[in-house]
Formats: sequence, C-alpha cells, structure tokens
Amino acid sequence: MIYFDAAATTLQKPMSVYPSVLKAMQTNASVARGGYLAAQSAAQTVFSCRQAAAELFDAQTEQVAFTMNATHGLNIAIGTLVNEGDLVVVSGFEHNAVMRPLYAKNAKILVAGEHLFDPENTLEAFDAALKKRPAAAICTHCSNVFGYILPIEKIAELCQSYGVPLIIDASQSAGILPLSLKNTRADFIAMPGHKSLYGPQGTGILLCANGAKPLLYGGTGSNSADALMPDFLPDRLEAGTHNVCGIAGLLAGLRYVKKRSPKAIMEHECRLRTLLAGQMEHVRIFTGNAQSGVLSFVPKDMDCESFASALAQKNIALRAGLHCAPLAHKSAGTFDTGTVRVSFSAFNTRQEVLQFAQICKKLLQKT
Amino acid sequence: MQRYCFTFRSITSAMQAQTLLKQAGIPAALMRTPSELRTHGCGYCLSVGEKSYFASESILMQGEKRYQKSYQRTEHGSWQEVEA
Repeated sequence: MIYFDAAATTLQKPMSVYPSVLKAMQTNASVARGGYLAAQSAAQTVFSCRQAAAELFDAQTEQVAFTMNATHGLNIAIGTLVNEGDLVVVSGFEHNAVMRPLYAKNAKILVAGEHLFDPENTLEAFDAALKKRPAAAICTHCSNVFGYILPIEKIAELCQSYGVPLIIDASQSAGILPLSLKNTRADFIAMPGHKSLYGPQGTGILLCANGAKPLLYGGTGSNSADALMPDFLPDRLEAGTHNVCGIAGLLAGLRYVKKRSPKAIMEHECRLRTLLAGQMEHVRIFTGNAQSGVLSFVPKDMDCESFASALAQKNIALRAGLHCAPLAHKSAGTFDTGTVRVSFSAFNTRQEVLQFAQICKKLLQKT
Repeated sequence: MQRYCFTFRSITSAMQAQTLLKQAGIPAALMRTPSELRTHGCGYCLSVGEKSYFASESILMQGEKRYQKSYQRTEHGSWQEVEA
C-alpha cells in the first residue's frame, strides 16, 4: 500500500511506538489512583510525555493537558473563551472542529482571509477583523486541505496588540513547524497526537496558557474531597482515566520527532510535494508559497471521489471530498468539486511519489 | 533517620518537584500523602531525608512555591508541620 493520508492520521509510526504501547498495556495501571509500582509507572509515563511536549512547544509542564484528539482540545478552548452569540474571528481555512462548536454557540463568525497561499492578505484581513474586538480569534496554523501555512506568529502579535485571546489549531503543523506557546502568547494551542507527532489515535494535546473551563467533570485523583473540579492545570481538564497506552506511544512519537527534528521532516515532505506537483498531468493543482507537504488537486475529467476510489483499487490510500473543511473549499472555490488530497509523512519515499504519478497518469489518460 | 515530606496539590506538581530535586542530586521518594496530612482528599508527597530537607526546601521555594506544606516525622511516627 502507498499511504498518502497523513493529514488524517499517520499510519506508519516509528518502530519505537509499538513496543511502548505494548509495554504500557502490560505494566502501567492508572495515574494518581494508587501508590503501587504499576501506578507509579503510569504516572512516570504520563509525566515524561508532558515534559517532552512542554519542551517541544516551549510551555510549562502543567500547561500540557492530554486530550482525545485536537477536536476535543478545540472544544475545551472554544468553550472557555466563547459565550453564546459572541463575535469570533476565524481564518478562511478552518476545519469543522472549529466551526461546528462555534455554530453550536450561535457565534457571530467573521471570516478573515480567504486568499489561498497569500499571507499578506491573511494578515491584512485579520488586522481589519480584530479591530471589531471579538471575544476570540481562532486560526489554523496550516490548512488540512491545501497545506497553506498561515502567518501565525504575526497573527498572534496582532491578537496581542488588540487584546484578543487566540486559539491556534495546530493539527497539521505540530511536529513539522516551529510553535511556541510562550512566544505566540496564545491562550490555547490544540493538536492531535496521531498525525505528525506519530502517536496512536485517541491522543491529543491542548497547551493552555492560563486557566480553562472543563468539558468533562469527574475524578482526577486530586482534591477528591472537593465537589468542584480542581482549579489548577492539568488536572482541571483531565477527568477520568488517562489513555496511558496511547500516551506511552505518543511519548515515543515525540522523541522520534525531536531526534529527527521537525525542520528535517518538513523539508522531506515538501521535497515530495514539489516532486509530485511537477509530475502530475490532467489535473488542476493547488500550490504556492507557504505550503506544507499537503497537496490538493482536482482531476480535469473525473470527479474526485471516483478518482480516489480508482486509486484505492490500486492500493493507494488518500482522501477526497471536503475533508471536514467546507469553509476552506469555499475560500478556494472548490466547494462544488471537493479535492483529492495527498499528504505525506516522514516515511513516504520518492519512489512512492513517482509510482503514484504514473498510476494517476494512466487512470486519467483513460478518461 | 528522621524524614520530611512535602505535600503537593497534584501528582504532576509532585513529579515536577521530584525532577528539580533529582537535578540537584537530592533523591526524593514519591508517595501517597499519609491520611493524617490530607486536607482535600487524595494527594501525593515527596519524602526526603533529614540531611536534604533544607536544601530541598530552598530549591522548591525558588520562584513560585511548588509545594503546599512540609512536615517532619516525629519519633512517635506522627507528622508535625514545619513552619515556613
């Protein structure tokens, strides 16, 4: 199989991830629930993962809260900062993990920046929108559809200057682009553990600069006599038993990313993306400056879903359609067709790209 | 040997403190807070030896206070709070 769907989840993990998960299943019990060896082992696993994430994202250990995925983290962040009917500024490339919680709160949504691969336009649009003093600004660091890398550091500076709290969706950037909770001074940065951090599905991280409103209420293994959730992080956001096995795998993934370096992984993926863009024929490609290893295209004479199905028959895995990001497609003008999306990981190869391009060429020549 | 313990609000803060002490060459054992010292239910504490107490306290007090209270184990086996 050629797996080109890392933007959904990385299927190929570093070899260190698998034994880490297995070992945790066999030897780690639950965190903060006992004093025996297996409980201590679980506590050490989870703490080490917190430390690794804090180091990678320039945060304090307590500012790292574990979630099920980025969607979970974004729901916490939005629930904390946005009240019913509030005005919120978003970029033109947000995922439904941002938009649906906002719709549920009847938020007044102001979309800033709908030009693909145009950081200047994005910044100008945010500057204009933030003048309206929204309750919060929410911005993806990198579009899951087009790989467009938004100028998040400058957007963060704008938010600071206007006094607007910022939520960053780092779903597609964590592990490949530099990101600092301290430097951006974002209120929240949400990310999945199972994409470019190479952890298992069911893991995620929410970086919290200050406090947060819990989404789940329950046992935390701290302040148990109190009726209220603890008022300190990370316990406030971590009710219930941790996904210790998943976090063990995520720790192995974080160590891999640190060792390989996000910069090297990003450069590898971008080389593959550039190679593919140069090889593709009979398609409309979306590419430009400020792009990650994600590439979307629209076949000229075949609909996207049919094309993806034909590729699946050839054992090529990728995604077609709206990618849970209809807003991004509306901004780019591809809402009616959707796109076929190729997204690379650290484990894809040049050979796979060339093979893929050949298969696409043959399929599209038949139409 | 008399032992001392520092109580913490969460296991995360206890383990952070343990890391700090370890970096300073001070071994500290992570354990469940003894029942008689609990104020809000479940908790974790760090236990250090008598010789390490003042150095530990100094490290843990640097910057933001990282522990809740500290206690000394008496000859009779009970715990007595150490005044800051």
